[in-house]
Amino acid sequence: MKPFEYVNPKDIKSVPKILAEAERALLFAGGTDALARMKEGIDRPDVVVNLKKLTDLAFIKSDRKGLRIGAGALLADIIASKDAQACPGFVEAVKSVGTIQLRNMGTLGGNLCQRPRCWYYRSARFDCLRKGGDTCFAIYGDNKYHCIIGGDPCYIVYPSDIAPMLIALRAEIEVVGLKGKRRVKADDFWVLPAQDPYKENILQNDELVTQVFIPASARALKSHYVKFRERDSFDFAMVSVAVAARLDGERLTDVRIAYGGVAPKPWRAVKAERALEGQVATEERVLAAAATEFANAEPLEQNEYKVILAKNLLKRALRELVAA
Amino acid sequence: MSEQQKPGLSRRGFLKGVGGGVVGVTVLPSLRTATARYGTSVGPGAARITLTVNGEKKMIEVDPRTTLLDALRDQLGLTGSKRVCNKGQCGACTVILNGRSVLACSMLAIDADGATVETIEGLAKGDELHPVQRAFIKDDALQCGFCTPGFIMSSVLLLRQNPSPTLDEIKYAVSGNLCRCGTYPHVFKAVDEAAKAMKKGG
Repeated sequence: MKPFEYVNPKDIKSVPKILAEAERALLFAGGTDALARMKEGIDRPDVVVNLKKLTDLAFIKSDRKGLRIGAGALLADIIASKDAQACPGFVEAVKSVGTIQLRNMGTLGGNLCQRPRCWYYRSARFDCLRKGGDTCFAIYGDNKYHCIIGGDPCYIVYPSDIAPMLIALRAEIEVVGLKGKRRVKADDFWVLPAQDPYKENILQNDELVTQVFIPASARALKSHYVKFRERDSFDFAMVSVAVAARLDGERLTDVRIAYGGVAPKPWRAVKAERALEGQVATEERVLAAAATEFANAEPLEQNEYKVILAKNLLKRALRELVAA
Repeated sequence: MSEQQKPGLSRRGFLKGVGGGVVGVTVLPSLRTATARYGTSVGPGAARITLTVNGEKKMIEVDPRTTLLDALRDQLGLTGSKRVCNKGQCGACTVILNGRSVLACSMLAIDADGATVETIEGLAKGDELHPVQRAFIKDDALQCGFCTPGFIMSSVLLLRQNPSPTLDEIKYAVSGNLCRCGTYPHVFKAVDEAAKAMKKGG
């Protein structure tokens, strides 16, 4: 690992200034992902900006407007907080992240800004497209865990479990930079490689995520997160799906569906939402809606199973949502 | 020939030497000036930290790059916590930091400054093993043993928080620890028996 200076900024607004002035700075909160990348040498910062001592980032608050959670809140503290229980699907998603130990270390902001897990990206031996090279090695390589939609020209999947649920719950993400604060819809926070193959979200170099806001209207929604993984104790999602809707008798309204594990960003399933809005979620209708969503999917050699999995997980998620 | 017979050439001694050699190598004065206005900083050279490890206060100098695991193993000689995957995917380095289980490989030692750390070495009282350690031995809850310190730390923390866990609660408590030998059923049994023994005051 390259030597670095470890900086404890005096307040949140100092962070963008450090990011702007240092040549290669890296934000560091729980550090579970950042440290692994530094060990591998795929991140080689001169300045590591420690966010853990900024206590204004580590809060969980609830009021009439909704639930606000600081980017520095530990995942374990979110799971234990009474305020978060008003959004059961959100708590399910947070619980499904990593392990007990990782949730004791990892933060909400870190989960939302973690880098992809693609093994070509993670290995310093592959000068892959996302790291500035010419080739996405997943296209003809081992691509069992890669994306089935939205891939061109880089075929990662975005690994966060919390991100799809924030989209389903119409959450907003607050970002602070040199120019001040801005709030971005979770739906607009992550980007596809066609827009920017080198980063996964809209953050500028001087910006950091400071908090997440889940509006009070989300409390009136039923929400549920279903994650399919190869190893049940802990793993990244092969495919996961976050669903949120209001139940009007048996009919679903205000349906929102977002997938993890299928695309380079948390994938909002707009076509499936439209097909299900105002409908009773019968098995046939849900499978047809998912089929519409993934009609344009372009699976790679080893991951066609994800198309089938994505359809069946939506069926399961909505069945459990209605029954809950 | 055993390690002890070759002073200066032992694997552990060599690693310690390398670890010490990287301290304080580079200075980046321009950055230091810039960031000083916005907060405080340490490194790239060594920083002094204080830890309470298994009840004893320890002061050490660490390069900011040093993980808590490497500081425990290479600087404090506490080699019970294991360095297996070194990327937060196996749980063999699990220690208890300020009452929570964490992965010592995945955090910086400087972030543990001022913290209370409990490792496998602190469990026994003199020659008397902790009930969880005794149960692991009795129930043969290990094969190669590399994952064992991590499993035991997760189990000890569980029983501290929940003295009468169900089987599902035991499985959940150790779900962040991998055993590639696959000794899980014996681990579950050992934790269950340790819980019962501890309730009896054993």
